[in-house]
Amino acid sequence: MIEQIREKAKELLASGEVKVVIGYENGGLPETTRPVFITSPDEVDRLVWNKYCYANLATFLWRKEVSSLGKPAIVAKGCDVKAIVVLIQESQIKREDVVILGVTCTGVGDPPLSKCPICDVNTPREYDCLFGEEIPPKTDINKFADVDEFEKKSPEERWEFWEEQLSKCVKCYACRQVCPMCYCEICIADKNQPQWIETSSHTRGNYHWNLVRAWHLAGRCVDCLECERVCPVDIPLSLVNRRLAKSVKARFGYEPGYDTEAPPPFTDFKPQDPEEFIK
Amino acid sequence: MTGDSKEKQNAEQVEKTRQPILKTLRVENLNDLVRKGLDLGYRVFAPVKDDRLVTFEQISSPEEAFLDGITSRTSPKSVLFPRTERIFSYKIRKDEIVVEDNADISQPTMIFGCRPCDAASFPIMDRLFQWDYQDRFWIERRKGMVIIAVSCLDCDDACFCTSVGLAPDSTEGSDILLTLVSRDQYLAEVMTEKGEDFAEKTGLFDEAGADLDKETATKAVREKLGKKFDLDKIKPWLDENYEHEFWAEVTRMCIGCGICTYVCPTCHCFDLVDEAHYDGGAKIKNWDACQFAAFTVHASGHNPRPDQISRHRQRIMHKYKYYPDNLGAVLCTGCGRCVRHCPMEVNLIRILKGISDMEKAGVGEE
Repeated sequence: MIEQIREKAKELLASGEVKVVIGYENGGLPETTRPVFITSPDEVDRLVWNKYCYANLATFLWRKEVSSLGKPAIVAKGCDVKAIVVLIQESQIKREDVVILGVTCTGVGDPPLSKCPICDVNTPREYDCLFGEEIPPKTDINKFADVDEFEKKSPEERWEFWEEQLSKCVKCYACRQVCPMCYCEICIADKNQPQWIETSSHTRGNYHWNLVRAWHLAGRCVDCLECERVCPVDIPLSLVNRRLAKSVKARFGYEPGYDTEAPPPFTDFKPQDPEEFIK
Repeated sequence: MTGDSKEKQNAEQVEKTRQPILKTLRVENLNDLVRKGLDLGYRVFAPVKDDRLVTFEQISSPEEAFLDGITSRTSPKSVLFPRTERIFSYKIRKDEIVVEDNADISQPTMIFGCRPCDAASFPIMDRLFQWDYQDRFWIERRKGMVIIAVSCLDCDDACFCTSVGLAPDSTEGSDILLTLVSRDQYLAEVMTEKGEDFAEKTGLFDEAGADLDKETATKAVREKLGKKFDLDKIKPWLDENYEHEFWAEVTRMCIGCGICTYVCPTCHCFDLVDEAHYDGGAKIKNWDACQFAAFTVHASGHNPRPDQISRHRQRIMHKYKYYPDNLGAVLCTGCGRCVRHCPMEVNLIRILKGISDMEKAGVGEE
């Protein structure tokens, strides 16, 4: 499969159709890969594809360090493609401005990451070229089993759980930086005139940051779980992201990342939207 | 006092070394060592394991300490330099403002079971915190602190202490360094008066025979570590190549999170913030990171480090050029945490090897 990806990358670069191919190369540590930005057809052999291609490269589509190189082609797994779809939906990129090199994927990591067993996009839903055998989408998966389980706890137990988890937060903002959806030029956490979100890692500051981050992803988070993968202190961020995803799905019948034409629920109104909170 | 002579004096203060006193500690007495520390009134910080995460935490019994890992996820710098620390707080009363000094900085503290790379971070940062401004939080805590480090007998691919002039059994920064020399015995190198005083109070150490040798114990790991780049070649290249296409090539994948700086035992940048309420408030010192865009943004909105490539260059320049220029030491102990935990595998070793290879080949020289 990697041979076909390299061949396509070479062709795209040689023809000038794209200026950069965003993909993965082998990392320096064992069992790692590193994002790579290939700008010359002679360098396509650096590209690799394996189960250690964790990173969601969609974040590089809007980062100026990469977008300044010119029109990109991007190697993307199904979950990464969902992020690209939301970026298109939210007008951050135009569909015609990116060549999606979709790869079918049976899971990354060894053992696979927690997102992989409940993945329904082993074959990306949107692509220009597809690499790998098509894998039919899994049906009968409950994406929210762990959220359901967590919700059985009492409010006190949940508070205690999050208090302990969030007390570990060091405010490195890796969850934000890695997130393809966190493209704000100035994050609310960086606005300091006045300081809206306290930078301190005390309980209040940690709750404040983590809740704001989660809220801003409601109806937008595509469940790539990069935030949880990179968190240096192992905070189970997916639990809070997906709790919100569960609500959005239940209330609006909407899951982000599946359809570039679908209007995102926070920018759209439907007469049948539930309004029981207006008493 | 001029900057130069002050710097020199501080360097002398922090570099006061002496011949180690060699003692031994029986492995079965290791827990008692911690217990003695607790009994003597030390706050004891040690690596603690929770699921897969190992961090330095205050412990109340020796069983909580986890000494088997290569390095902990976060470094023990937080003991001296907490990620959030109240400098003072104040309350506004009707007729007066009451200021409270909140920092409890004089309690005797013991760091137990850190690796030599972490112990070495403290004398490196002493230079900074005792430079032009005397940081009393650091200095006071440091005075009451005993560091008992344990030599490494294993390493991983991210470790590179031997490439920055240290070793898996370096004594730099340790008051006592323990090296497992046989199944039931540690060789204890007592490096300082503080260490000697502590060892004596515990009554757990024996005189070491002349036959004990840590070199044999750590030989295998030293060989495994090898040398990953040539340190002597780094600074000369950095001196000349602030602008070089290499920077963009090796750092374009950096996403600008603070992981590398926050897991680093020697990164020490902080920000002072005011958290005020209608009837009081606090001045708080929080970790900050050169990798954040907001780190250098001016009030005008101009940012002299406008992209991640310049921000990442800054981190390397600071560690391998500016700090050596200003304070005479490389601001890195080769612990490998930034390499190990970087979400995008930017990999400092790769960058430094790239630099040392270019310098060797004479590339980039005018």
